[in-house]
Amino acid sequence: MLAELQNITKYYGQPGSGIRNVVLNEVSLAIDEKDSLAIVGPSGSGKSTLLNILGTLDKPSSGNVILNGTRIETMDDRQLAGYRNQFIGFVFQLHHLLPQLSLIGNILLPCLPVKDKSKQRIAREHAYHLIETVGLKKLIHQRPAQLSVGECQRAAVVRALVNQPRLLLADEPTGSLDAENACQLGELLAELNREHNLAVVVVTHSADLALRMGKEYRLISGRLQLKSPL
Amino acid sequence: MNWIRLVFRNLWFHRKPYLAVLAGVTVSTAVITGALIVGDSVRYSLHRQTGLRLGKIKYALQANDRYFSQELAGNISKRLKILVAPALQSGGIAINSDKNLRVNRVQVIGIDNRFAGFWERPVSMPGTDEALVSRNVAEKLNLKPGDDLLLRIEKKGKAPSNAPFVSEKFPSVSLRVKVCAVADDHQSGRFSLKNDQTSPYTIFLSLHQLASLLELSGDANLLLATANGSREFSSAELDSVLKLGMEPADAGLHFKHHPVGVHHPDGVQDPVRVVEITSDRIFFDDSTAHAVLSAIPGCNPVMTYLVNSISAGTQSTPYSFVTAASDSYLKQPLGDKEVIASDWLAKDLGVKAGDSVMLRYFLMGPMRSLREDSSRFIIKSVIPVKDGLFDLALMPDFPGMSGAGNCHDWETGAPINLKKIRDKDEKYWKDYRGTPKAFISLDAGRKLWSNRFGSYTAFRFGAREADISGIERQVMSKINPARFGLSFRPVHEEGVLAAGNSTDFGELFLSLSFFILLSAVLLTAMLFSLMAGMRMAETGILSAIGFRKRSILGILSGEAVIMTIAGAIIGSSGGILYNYGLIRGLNTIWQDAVNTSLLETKINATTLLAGAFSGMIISLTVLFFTLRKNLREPLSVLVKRDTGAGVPGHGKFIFVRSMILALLSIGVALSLTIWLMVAGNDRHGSLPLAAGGLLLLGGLVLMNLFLAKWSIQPGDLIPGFWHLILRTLSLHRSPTMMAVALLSLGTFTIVITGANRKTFYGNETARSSGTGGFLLWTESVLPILDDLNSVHGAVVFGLQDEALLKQVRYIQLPGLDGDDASCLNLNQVSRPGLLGIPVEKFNRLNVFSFTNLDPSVDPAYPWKALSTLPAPDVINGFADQTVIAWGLRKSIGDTLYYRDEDGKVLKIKLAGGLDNSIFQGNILVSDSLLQIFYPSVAGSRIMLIDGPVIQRDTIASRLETLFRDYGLMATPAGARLASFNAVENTYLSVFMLLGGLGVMIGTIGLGIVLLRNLSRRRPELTLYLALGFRRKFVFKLLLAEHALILFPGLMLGLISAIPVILPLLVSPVGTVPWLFMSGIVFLILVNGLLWIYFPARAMMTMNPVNGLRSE
Repeated sequence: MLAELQNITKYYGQPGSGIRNVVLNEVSLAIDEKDSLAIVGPSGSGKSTLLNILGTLDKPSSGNVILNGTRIETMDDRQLAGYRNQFIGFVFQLHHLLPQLSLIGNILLPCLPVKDKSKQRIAREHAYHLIETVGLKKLIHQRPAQLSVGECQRAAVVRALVNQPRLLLADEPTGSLDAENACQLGELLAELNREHNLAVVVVTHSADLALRMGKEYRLISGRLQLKSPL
Repeated sequence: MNWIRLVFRNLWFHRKPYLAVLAGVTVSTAVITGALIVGDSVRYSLHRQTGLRLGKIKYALQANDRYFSQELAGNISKRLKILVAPALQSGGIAINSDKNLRVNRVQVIGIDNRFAGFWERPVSMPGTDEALVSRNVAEKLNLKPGDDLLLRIEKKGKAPSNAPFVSEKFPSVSLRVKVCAVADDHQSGRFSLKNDQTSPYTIFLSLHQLASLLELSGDANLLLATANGSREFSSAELDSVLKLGMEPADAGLHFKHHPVGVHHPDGVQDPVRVVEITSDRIFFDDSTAHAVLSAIPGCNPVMTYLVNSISAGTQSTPYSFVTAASDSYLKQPLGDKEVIASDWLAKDLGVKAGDSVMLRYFLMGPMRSLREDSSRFIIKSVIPVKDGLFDLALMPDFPGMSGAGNCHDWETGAPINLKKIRDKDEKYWKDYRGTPKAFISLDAGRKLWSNRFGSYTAFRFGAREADISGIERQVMSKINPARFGLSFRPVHEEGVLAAGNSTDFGELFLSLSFFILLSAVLLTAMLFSLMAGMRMAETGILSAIGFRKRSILGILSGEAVIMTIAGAIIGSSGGILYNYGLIRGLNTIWQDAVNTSLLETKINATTLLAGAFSGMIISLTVLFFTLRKNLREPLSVLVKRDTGAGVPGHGKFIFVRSMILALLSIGVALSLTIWLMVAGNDRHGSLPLAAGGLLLLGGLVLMNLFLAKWSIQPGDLIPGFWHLILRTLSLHRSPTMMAVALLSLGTFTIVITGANRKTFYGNETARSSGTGGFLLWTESVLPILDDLNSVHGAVVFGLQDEALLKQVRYIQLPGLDGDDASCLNLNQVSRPGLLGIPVEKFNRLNVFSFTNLDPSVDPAYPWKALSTLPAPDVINGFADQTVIAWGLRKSIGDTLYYRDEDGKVLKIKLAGGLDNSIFQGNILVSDSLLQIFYPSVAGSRIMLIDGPVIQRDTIASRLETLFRDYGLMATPAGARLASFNAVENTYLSVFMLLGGLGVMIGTIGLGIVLLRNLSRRRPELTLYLALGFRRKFVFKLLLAEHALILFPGLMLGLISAIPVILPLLVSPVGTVPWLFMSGIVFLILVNGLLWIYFPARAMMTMNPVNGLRSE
């Protein structure tokens, strides 16, 4: 099992008020290698929260998160950061490329926390391979402000993959793209899942993108339901 | 929705950043308004103090050592129908013997009832043996009405005390009085004719009693006058009335109707009487002599002089008067080497016509030093002593001599060897008193005995009884009282002018608050720019939906104008508070700077408006340019931008140009520094500053280029920690460089200001230091007339009795009183006191240092310049450079105008500016020249003392005891210099404090910018976490990023200050107050670090998920 959520509950409350807004209610989810799954649901249903908990950016109010067989509550900040760097790749609705860095700088940014030089070299070679794959080779020295949103988002995907993670988490990755770019990105994610043994979890409103994933979950009232096994 | 509503909606929506902008505008306006109010307040306080010290007095005639009849006041009063009061002014020492308290340097003023008319509140007139004391005297001596007070009052005679043969009697009298009242501020308690904010210690006595005590009954030396209602008089008008009212006695002249008729060869006397004019001052000054000679044609001037001996061979006649007279007086021609002897003399010496005699006589030098000289004459004829020619009245009325019963009772200013006086000499004195024993020609007499007081001791002419009063009037009509210092000064007008032209504290505090102002303005610009940047997308959307750029600019400008107006209104009120703080500081902890604690706040509506308007204009200008810069980008970019991140571009041309500018600045700065070190920078005060400024400029341009280079540097390497930081800083280059510039400029200024603080302990014994290496500076109330280095002087004052004092050397500096031009006086003065310098001695010792010299002065021997006359009526003068620049508002080469004792204009050319010295407040001239132009300046009140350093305090204490009756106070020269340094250091402290505050506001701004940045950069920071960076890394990244603004800013400021402080570092007398400077820099650093640390720390505690949501 690559990643597993066990009975995850997440609520937000105002201290002292006694009011609790339950976002996730006893949610469980298992992700195997080569899995690709989409999580859909109305706005505010907790999709992104679920993804952030899975990505260790957020902590559940209760329940367990197990990554690669290890419960994350036993991990310290260093181990968590290491997991995010090596095991998980993130793609957000907005590309979040750093304006101060060139495209290649942004893509190679995840290599910075990596201490092992040989790993860095491998990551770099991988980055160039991916850049070529997504058609950004000519643009590597450009700044994000000089690129289109689609190009930026593709670069963001490459950045997420540069350390060859085993789990890619994408939060509304096509949300800011036009139909053509959204289609291309969906295709890219599906291809990565198929050809690179990469588990992909996508939170999306896009039915098209959801259809490209192997499973589709629906998050309603804090509960996760498998929509239609394909 | 209309425009106004839109503007207000925007303001409300962006209220947080706008509050920060508002704070910036408020601080700028408050600083400007506060500083301007300080200027008004100081001016107002000085004006008020002019009113307090003068009451209704508009004009004053201060004759110092000339005396006139008290009736003169009545004469002028009647003619002009104004209140004119006579007064007698002297100096003294006041002692409360019950409590063992003492005040040296009190002004003792004899007044009558008329004086009370000048003051708002009733003044208690002192009766006999009573004193009215000013409040500061009462406080200092712990006196209340009814208490006893002992006074020692300087006694000046009508004859100058340093004139030849004038007795050197102890120059003071004592008086025990009872305090009748204490005069408060509105009752003459602050009376002073000097333009100075400090009040002298004053004791008022009855005019009648004081005049009697000083043997000046019926006389005064001060006239005080009001205006006639609203009608004011010119000085010339008053002087012409003064002249009309003057009697001969007011000019010190006495017409004596001689009992002897005009001498005729046949022995017959006719009705024409011999009239003799004599002077209170014994010798006639040149202008009076000229007036007499021109008024009375055929008048015979004579000069009678005391010779030590007349000898022929082995025979000698001691102590005789010899008269020099004209041929017409003698009725026979007399050659310059001929003498007419009395038969008594001829008999005594055993000589006859054709024999030669030797005359030995004293000539008087400075400090009553005497030099014996001699001349040989041939006896032309011998005439009986009983002949009318030998007239007893020819002997001048020397005090201490004329009235003596016998020769042994003589009290003269010259040593008399009583052993030489024989019985026959006593008999001659008894029979003929001071009748001359010989005559020489007038020319010969003038050549031998003319001195700085004049060339004649009397004028004789024949006149009928009835004509004498007409001749008196004729003589008086020729006399110009102003020529000997009797002239009215519009003292009130001068006071108002001096207060009006006083140090502009508004300007001063604007300069001192420069960094607060700069910080506030930059902060405003930074915050506004930040906000405008954040609103780029909004402006883009407005453009997209059809708003013209001008309209968008109008909306944003409207918001800025409203904020600015609000800031200006709040700021001008804040300015009042800032002013209260500054005035309170000046009256308390910074009192050293103003020497008074009586500054009051004065708020003018116009000043408030001016402050508010200035703050508004400055802020609006800054905001407008910030807006314009932000809106200059094309619409497409505006619409697209949502992070404020632009595409960095840097043209090659600009790059090259900047590089040239940087290298040129640094190159010139280094070359200048090296040249100054090699050539010595004594005369190039501003060049080190220029070198420092250039280095700073070069450094800033280089840093800007460095960041720009990072923004364009391509590369496919994995971005490193510093790479990331430098890229981020290069992206935000403008605010980064603004913060670096502010920090570096602030540090630079604080360091160079700190280095300019005057400290000298450890080097005050160096001859080149501001103390001249002298041990003590002494000031006495009464002048010390004798040369203390001479045997005679040492004997008179008992200095030879103590082994310690035998090692002490005295440099006595004669002086002319004037306004204090030191930094202790806030008023602008035009006539500072003069101090006579022994040029040769100073030149030999090579004392003190100069910061500026006229090209005509030899830098190797600057003191020699004081002995040279650049033109006949011009002498050279030196003063402290700070006095020249600030006290006098003059430059080297400029001229000061004085009136010498003859009433002629004396020009003093400012030929050199001393580095900070103990002479601050005075103009230094040659002592010999001072005595030529001011012959009446008697003795010295100021001395520099040299002696064993380790015995300094013992020497000071012994001298104070020995010269107790002279009111001598000895101050270590270093301590005196420290008191002047305290003023400058106080200003520097204020500047550093306000500057430090400004830099701290700048760093607070840095913190606010950091907070705003962090808030904007939350997604970026979350991204780091998402990409596997640890929180610690992100925290370090933020700290390092902002430390890269703080540290280079500080370092650049410090390094740029090196050329400025280098001369101090290598100078043998320079010391740098490292502790103070490093303290301030450390505070800035710590403050900056705190403002970086806490926002970064706060950022780290946030939930990263919020960062992603904040999009």
